[in-house]
Amino acid sequence: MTQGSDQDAQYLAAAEAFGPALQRLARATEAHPERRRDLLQDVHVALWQSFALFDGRCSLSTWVWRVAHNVAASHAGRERRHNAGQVGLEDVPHLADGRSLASAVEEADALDRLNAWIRRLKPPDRQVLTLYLEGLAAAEIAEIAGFSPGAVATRISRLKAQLAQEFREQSHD
Amino acid sequence: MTDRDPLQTLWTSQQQEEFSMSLAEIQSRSTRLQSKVRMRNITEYVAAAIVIGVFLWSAATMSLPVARAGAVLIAAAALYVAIALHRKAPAVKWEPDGSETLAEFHRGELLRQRHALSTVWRWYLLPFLPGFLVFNAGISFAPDNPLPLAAKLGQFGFMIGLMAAMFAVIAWLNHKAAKKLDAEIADLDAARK
Repeated sequence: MTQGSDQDAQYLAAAEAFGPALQRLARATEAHPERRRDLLQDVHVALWQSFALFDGRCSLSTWVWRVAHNVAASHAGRERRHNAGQVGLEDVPHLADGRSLASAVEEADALDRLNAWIRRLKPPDRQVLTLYLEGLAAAEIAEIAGFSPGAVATRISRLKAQLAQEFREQSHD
Repeated sequence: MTDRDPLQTLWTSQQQEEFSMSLAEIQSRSTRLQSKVRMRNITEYVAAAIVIGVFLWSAATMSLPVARAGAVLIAAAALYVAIALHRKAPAVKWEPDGSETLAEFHRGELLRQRHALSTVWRWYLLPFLPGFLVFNAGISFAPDNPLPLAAKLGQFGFMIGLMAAMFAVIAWLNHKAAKKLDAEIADLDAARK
């Protein structure tokens, strides 16, 4: 196989495996639907470009997360001013079938608040928390982020406590 | 078996939007992004050329020799700053590389911003200083200025004061931003392996 077809094949495999997670990352980074779509496209382009350099020195998963998060962090830095206070109704996920309206609305509202809260975090916190929410273990997050596993565990615990407090305060308002 | 955090279950249950990109679309967007960077650079060169042109035109049409020299110095400073900007933000786009950890990438970004803040004096503000001084001196002490010498000195001093105030505000803002960046870099370093 040529380098170009390797690159294409690796990208297609990554897009298939990580597509939904990349959408969640875009949602946790950008509130505005059009700019979020742009970001998602940029992430896919960067992933495709990056596979020209992929030499297996780390796992495919680590590679994909690093590229995607670094693109998202750059985007967040550029768009910080646009994002402030722009979490609109369009950001609330569509209601899924098969659930009661009340529970679906409650879940959509919780996700909306969670995404909005994550978007306000500084890049390292946002990255660690979203990787944790994707179900990655502390050791994997440490590998991707370049932090010690202890620092990752401490950060997750602190962020979860802050998140719980934030949600408690919001539900009391 | 470990219990899954309900937050993780909530997170991964998010509804997916319709999204797909073919390889052809990806390659075409990749090419478009490169063209966009080239266009941005061309826009910056044109803007710099306009600023330089305006000051050179002022120099050519002014009757006061000292003010004319000031305008030439300002045009030279604008040229210097344009070259410095070009060197600091080259057309080479960041190459996505998964061998770089998130902390390394973020630290690099913070250091770049920190460096830009600490050197902004040297490459952005100081080059304009001689030109502004000479230009203002030329205007304030022009032979056809009917004001007495004390008033001329006052006029010149007022302009110097305005510039000093502007520099002080920039220094204060830079100092605040640099302190914030230093704290972020220290926080990042403490968490790194």
